[in-house]
Amino acid sequence: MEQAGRTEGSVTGTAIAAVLVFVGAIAVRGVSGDPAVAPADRERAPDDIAAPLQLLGPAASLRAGELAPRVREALRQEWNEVQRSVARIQACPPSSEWLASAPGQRCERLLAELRSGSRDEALAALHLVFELARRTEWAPGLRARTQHADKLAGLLHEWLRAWGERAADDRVLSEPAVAATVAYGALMRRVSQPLPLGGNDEALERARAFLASQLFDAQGQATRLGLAVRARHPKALEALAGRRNVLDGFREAFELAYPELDGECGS
Amino acid sequence: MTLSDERRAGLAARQLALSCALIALGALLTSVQLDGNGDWVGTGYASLGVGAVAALAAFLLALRSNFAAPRDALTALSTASNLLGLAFLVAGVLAPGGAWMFFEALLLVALLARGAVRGETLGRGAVAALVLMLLFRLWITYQGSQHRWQVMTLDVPVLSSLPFDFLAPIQSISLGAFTPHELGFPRAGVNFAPTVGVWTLGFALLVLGLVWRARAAQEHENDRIHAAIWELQPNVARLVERLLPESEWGELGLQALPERALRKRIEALVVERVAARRDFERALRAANLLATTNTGGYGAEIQQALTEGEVR
Repeated sequence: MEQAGRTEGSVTGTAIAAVLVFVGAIAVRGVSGDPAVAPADRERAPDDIAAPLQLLGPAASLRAGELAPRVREALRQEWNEVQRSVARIQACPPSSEWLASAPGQRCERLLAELRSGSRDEALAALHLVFELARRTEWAPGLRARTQHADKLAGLLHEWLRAWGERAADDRVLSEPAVAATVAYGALMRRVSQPLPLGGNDEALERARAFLASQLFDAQGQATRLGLAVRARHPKALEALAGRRNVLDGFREAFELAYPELDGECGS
Repeated sequence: MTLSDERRAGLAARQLALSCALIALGALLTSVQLDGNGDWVGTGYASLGVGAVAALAAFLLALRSNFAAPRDALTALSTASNLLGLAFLVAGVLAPGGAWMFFEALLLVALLARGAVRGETLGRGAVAALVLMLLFRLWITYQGSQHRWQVMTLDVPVLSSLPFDFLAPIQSISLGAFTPHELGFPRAGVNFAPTVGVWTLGFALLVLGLVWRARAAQEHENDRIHAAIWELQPNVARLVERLLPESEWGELGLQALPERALRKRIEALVVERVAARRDFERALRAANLLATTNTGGYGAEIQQALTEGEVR
């Protein structure tokens, strides 16, 4: 008798659970999600730097002073001097040659320090790289001198390796990270194919492998950084997943977003 | 009815309730997808509506062959679970929109209806078609998650190997184009891997649940017939069960009968079978069996004379 009562209780309980789950299954079908919210659209913290993309744009030097108080005390003096020396580069020297000079080496050392610091310091590092790209010559030209673009792309590569995935979900760094990715792809496009015919397959494979590691996960799905790049430049990601002209999408996006960064100091 | 019979009856009811819960869980899992914001959202009502039509068609056809009217809350839940389970199962494998969905729905209605006429919830052909359709749905979801809005792209031989950009539009052919809207993707995009995992698990639970429910329902129904027979005196009930063995209850039309009709049918069958046995025994007793061994020829007359003499 007790056994029968227990059985009836368990049957009733299971049946009620089944009914509730069915109701849930029907109701949940109508739940529609919210549109994707870009990290940059989230509510800003009071100390977040405003419009961070301006610090990579043509008028970035006007706001460079805002970055000084955000760099840690130990590096602030060095930052002020290096930032000033980069802003005063004259006569469009070739990128790798300037970086091999004394101020260039100092700049490279500071970039390494900034990359390992806070997110504001990471933004300061990216600001310096974009300023270098703006004030030095890296266009391969007819002689296909790709070492300058390769050197600059190397600086972006290191920044993305350190910050790429973390930056993609950050209010301040998400858009600069997309800009850095597009700039890296565009620079490597110039390195891998400096002239209309022929090209450097090693550079192309290097760029493709690095971008794939940053933008796609092990299952071939877009990472957070990949989703951010896709949201702004869908053709760039589409081309990267293709078989030919894999970096052309990045080149087009970069030329559209930064027309003054032509590798010849905008001349 | 013995204690073990009571336990057996309880077991069938418990199995029926558990199979319904399994179907419900499968239905829930096929109804959700993980979006790009990390939220679980629904897969929409359009495909469920089409799935419900397919399930209803199969259900209506089954009414004519082996429909068991619900008699209590549990059998009502079982019938509803069967109908809803089929609706969710079909909805879970349909391409979520466009002309494909209606073509797939048509095919599934035909397969499910054929199974229903034969008395099967899910025949082998229907399961094979459902698996293929699920794979197709997972494939186009994968393509969509990669922002490739076609079933596949085929390279045109020779042309595709030429390194000229102006040939790009004719270097490949896109087959089966679709849109994100047709796929029913959430607004923030779909998170492919967990979504596919959940859908596949839901599909497996639905198929298992539906097959289990069909068997549990049959066992539950047999328990009811058994209980009706054991309303008789135990000795009589044992004899009736020897006359009407459980393995023949389906063929004898005992399952799915209303209570009163069930008892009348048992009564009629017992009368019929007992009468047939008595007739047979009477005929057996009257038959001159030794005469059947008479092979004719030389000894025939002698054998007949001896056996007749013996009878006398």
